[in-house]
Amino acid sequence: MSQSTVYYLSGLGILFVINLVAVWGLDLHFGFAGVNSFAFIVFQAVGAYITGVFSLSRANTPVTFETYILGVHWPWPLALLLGGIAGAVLAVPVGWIAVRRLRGDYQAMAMLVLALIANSLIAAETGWFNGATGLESVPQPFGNLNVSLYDYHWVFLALAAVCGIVSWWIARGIARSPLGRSMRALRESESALAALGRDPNRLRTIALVAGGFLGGLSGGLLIQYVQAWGPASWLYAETFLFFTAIIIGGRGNLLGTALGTLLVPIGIVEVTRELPQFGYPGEFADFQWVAIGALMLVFLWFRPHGLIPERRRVFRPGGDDASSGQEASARALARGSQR
Amino acid sequence: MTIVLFGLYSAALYAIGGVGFTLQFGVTNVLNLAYGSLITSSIFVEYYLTGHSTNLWLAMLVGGAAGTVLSFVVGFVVVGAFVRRGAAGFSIAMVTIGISLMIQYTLEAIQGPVVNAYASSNRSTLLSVAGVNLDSQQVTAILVAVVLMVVVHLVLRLTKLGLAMRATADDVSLTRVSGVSPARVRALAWLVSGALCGVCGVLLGIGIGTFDAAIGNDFFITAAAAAIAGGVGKPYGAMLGALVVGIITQASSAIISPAFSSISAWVLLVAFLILRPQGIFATYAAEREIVA
Amino acid sequence: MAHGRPVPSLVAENIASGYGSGLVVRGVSLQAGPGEIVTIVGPNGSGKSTLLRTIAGLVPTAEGRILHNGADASRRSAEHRARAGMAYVPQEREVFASLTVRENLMMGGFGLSRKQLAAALERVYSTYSILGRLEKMYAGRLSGGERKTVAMARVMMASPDVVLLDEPTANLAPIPTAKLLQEDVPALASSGVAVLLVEQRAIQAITVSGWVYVLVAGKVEVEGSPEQIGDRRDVGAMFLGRGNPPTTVVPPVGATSE
Repeated sequence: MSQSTVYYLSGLGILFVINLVAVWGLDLHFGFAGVNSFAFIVFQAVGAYITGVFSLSRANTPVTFETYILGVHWPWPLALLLGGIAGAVLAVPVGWIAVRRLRGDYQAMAMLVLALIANSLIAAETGWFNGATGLESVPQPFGNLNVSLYDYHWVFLALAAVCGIVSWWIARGIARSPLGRSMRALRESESALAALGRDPNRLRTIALVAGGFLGGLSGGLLIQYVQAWGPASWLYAETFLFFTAIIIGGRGNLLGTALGTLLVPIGIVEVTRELPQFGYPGEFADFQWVAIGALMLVFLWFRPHGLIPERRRVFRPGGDDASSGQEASARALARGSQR
Repeated sequence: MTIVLFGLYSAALYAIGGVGFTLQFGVTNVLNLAYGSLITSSIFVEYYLTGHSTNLWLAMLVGGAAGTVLSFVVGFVVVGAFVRRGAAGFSIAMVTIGISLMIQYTLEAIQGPVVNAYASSNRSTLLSVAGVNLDSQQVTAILVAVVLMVVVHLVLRLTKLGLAMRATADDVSLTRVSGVSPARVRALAWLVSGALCGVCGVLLGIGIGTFDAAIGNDFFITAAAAAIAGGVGKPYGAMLGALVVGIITQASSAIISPAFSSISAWVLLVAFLILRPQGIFATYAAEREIVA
Repeated sequence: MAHGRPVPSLVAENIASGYGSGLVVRGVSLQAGPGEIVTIVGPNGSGKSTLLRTIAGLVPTAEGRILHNGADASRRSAEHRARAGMAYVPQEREVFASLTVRENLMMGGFGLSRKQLAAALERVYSTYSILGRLEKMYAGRLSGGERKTVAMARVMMASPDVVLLDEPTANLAPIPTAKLLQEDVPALASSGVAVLLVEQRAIQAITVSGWVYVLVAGKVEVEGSPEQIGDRRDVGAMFLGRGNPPTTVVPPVGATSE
């Protein structure tokens, strides 16, 4: 393999892991807790911005017209961690607004609009994160490491992989814990869970916070990798890229969603960048989006549970006792009529 | 005064779009997130079919027809097929998003790298109130909105189909056991919603003078804000909501900055969703659970 | 089995139905004829409401047949069954809350011509005298008793021959309950309608009934005339709130084993 091919593949690997972290975060929201997290891209955006302004320095801004808050030039691991924490913190108000008070379509609508508001607001406010232009020239991790561009990819891939493993550990931990099982139960039937004496909103909030952390972490990684981040990077439609990955892979299944990530954000969006482009700049991207929309419909029609469906656990909402009691009555009555 | 007059003009567009959205949502119970892309498609069809005509009457006829057909195909045929297959709640919202992505980006590919523009029409000032000039296009839009709202009102109040639509929006099961097939009513709701969406689309496109494949998206959310502020599924509420949203967008645009005209309406929408969810949607909100 | 029961206009043959994969109604056979009040009693969750919803066509019939005036209605839609003369009043949300009383009645007579509609309105207005006073009010603002009256009047608009009533006295005060069970329902039956009634207030309902089915865990366990059911101490203990659970052998009535 030529050096450029290796460079390309390692780049794909990095993007795969970053997207995977985000998709798992969304899966915690949507797959495990059943929250229609249509504002998920905001978690990634906040993580990216926070990581950005903590690692950028005010003095050494190469582009003189950039304006942003902080600019404290903290070490990159700290900035990255703060990005994740920012996502987790954001999950608290979002959880209060959209989850505690709203269900179903209204929740989805509110989330979607929150994403729009956030994007427009940050684009309009030049003082926070440099407005519509966004942050640029964000320092990279191990930036002073004296390696070639090609080798640096491997360094970053290793870093991303560590984050990926941490995310896997968090997501799997939640999925396998009693908490995760309750969450799945919660998604199936809220009243049943409430009947078991668990507070559904507490579970939802935990899932939102953990998912928010992963979202923020993916954003932090992304800005450290591409070194730039602006409102155009997180239009609300991007959220549906992650949703498509989950629907195709299999909601609530970490392996399935990983496969979905490989197919959609990587397979359709990133890999095809190498195909011969046609038309005007951007026309190719248009067709990618049309394909994503079509794929979403195809899967919702033919395989609504995805390629690797979650194992369904039968969850009986408390009706068993009532009906078994009735079985006994029925037997008593039947005895009565037979004798 | 400027705010009130231009607010009235904005309200006219939001009312048409918002009533179209809320009527269909109320009757079919489908959150149609592709509504914005239907608005956009209507403008595109009008633009290319009539050779960029800015004749409002022709535009509304063509755009309205396009909206009607597209809304029926998208909603009644495609979404309806998913519903019959057992999809519900979240899956349906995702279906409309998938459709929306397909439409929007197909249009973007058709549009190409340039922004579509109507030839600057000869807009004469028709009405001058307190030093504020409204041109003929804006006055027409306001009048059309008023007429459409009256027609919608009369259809809902006085005709049997209107009664059936309100009944379906209220309670589908009860409508069925009254012997009324919801399929016909739903089809009608998609058609009417599409017609309103098309008319509002061309008024919007010609009103601004330029458009791209994303024009319907933000507008749709603002129109939805009008619908939700007025109470989902309640066309009269949407008319009132449109007035409020129209004034608010104009006011915040004038007072804060143009960038905030939509943001303020969206904030209003979220505020309504959060603060008055039961109060406004008492009949619907309680029953909606996530089923996927 | 008929002990002088009328020729049935509604027959359920061994029907089973439910939601999702679980069956709630598991093989129920029953019948009701013109002028007859047939009551279904049973404990909570025994499938009474699901049974009525299945007959009305709101829940698909998984097994068995529903015959309405001899025609198989099992695969017909709810709206088709309604147009064929089968009326259903649900337990809750029995009126269109956002429509006026008059509009509710017009929904009941949706298939009628203008002339027939006027006649039907006149008919129900004379049957239920309070309607005239309420006609412009939104049904959602009515009291529980008024809602039931509007619901009854609404289904009467189309002159049905079978009326399914799901716990019409739930949430009603004693006086409207007595009026409904002792006046309105018998009046409905005496006009030649077959009334299939699901009731929690079993004793009150049974006294006006011509036939009673006891539904337990989705199956008819006992059926009989009100007198026969009243004599069953085990049924009384379980569902009618009197006596003790069966400790002695009770002779069988009716024929319902499996």
